[in-house]
Amino acid sequence: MPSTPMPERARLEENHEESGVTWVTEWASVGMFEVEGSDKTDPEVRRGPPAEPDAPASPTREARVESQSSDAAADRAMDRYASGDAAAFSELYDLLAPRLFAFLLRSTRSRCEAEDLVQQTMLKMHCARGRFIRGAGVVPWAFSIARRLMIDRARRSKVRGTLGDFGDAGDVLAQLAALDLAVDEVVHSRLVGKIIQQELDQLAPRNRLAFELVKQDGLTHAEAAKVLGTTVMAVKLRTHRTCAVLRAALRKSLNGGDA
Amino acid sequence: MNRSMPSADVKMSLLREIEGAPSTPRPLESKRTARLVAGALLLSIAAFVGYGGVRIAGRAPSLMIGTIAGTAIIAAVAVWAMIGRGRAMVGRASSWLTAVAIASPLALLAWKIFWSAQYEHGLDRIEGRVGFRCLGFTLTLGAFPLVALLFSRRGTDAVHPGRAGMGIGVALGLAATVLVDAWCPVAYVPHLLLGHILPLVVLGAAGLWLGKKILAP
Repeated sequence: MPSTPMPERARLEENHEESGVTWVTEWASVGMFEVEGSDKTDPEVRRGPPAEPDAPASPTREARVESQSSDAAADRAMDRYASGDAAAFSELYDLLAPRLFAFLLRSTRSRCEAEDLVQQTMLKMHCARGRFIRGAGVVPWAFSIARRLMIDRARRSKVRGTLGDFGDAGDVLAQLAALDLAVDEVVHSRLVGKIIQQELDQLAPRNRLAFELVKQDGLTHAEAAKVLGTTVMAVKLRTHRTCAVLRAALRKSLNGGDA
Repeated sequence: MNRSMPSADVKMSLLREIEGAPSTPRPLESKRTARLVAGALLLSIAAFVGYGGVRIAGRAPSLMIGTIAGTAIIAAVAVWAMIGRGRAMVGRASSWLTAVAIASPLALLAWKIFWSAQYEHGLDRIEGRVGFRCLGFTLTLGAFPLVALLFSRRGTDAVHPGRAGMGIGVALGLAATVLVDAWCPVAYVPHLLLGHILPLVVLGAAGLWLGKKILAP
């Protein structure tokens, strides 16, 4: 282990997050993978731990409000930039780039490629800023450009990103132990993450993408529908189907593992 | 380095790049677009006048007004459905665009046959009016606004540029048909198919092809 524990810990936490463990536990915490018949979760619920019974406002609600205010801030920044305020671009980048990067990184599995696509996406937005409709939502537009650029690149290269095996190679358990997480918790999370990723990879791309845009990128059903060029109902249906497939796969795998 | 963020270099190089390649802000772009679209519409109107403008050609006024009014309503719905985007950069769903692009020419055909059938000899063949002139006329009237509108929306549709272009082509073709109806008195069905419906298909196909080239970012 390195002699400087804090930076190493930060790096490990980032690896941990990138590995998919974090979002798996988050989804699990909001009941995404509850078996059928159990308490239903609000379909709009995003990330965050379950609410305390007497909490004044649930964290998921706060997260949703935060996401909406971030979208509104991005819309305002884009509107200003379209109107000619050059300084608004930096603000727009700060608001959009992390979300676009997460979306692209998950799809390309290549940090370098994801960065390049973020750059291209922002550049395309810059070129078309004069044609941005006043009051339009910039988030679905940005995601749709990013998606198109990614598809074009994949078509050109005819090579899809290799399926990563959750984070960097190496002694994963030793790394995660540095996070002070219980080993069985870590192993369980990684197992769940692997199952989910395998199932997602087997799904039809349109179902997987709808699910990822809504559950991982925090877009609303309407925004995801815009990105995918389809109807809100179709996005809800695809997300629901994907959740059902994942639930079934997890139930089968985890029950089988315990038996 | 934060692994959930693009590296700082990306932002720096992007800022450098946009400094070197300035883009037109909205106020200026809006003026350009207005000029471009107005110019295209003027060309279309000039072509209409050049072809002879409104021609009654022995038609009953109610037949002519009814035909034009029905076509205008269908065209207005098509323009709203396929050109309008509301307050969104990404247009309507692909399935919606395809459905309206197919349904609106069929609705036009049905309306013209229905309304002309209400009049004696309304659907009769007229010697020497095969439909090629109407075909050329509609294409001429629709082509200028199609190119202008596609150009004014260049680089903005990342979801379905082809279908959006197709929708624009069909909708503008229908709008051109309103003028063509004021000019052409023939409602013989083969003539309608060749001179009034085929140009919509051609403009839709042209929009599909040009949309992929122009509308895609």
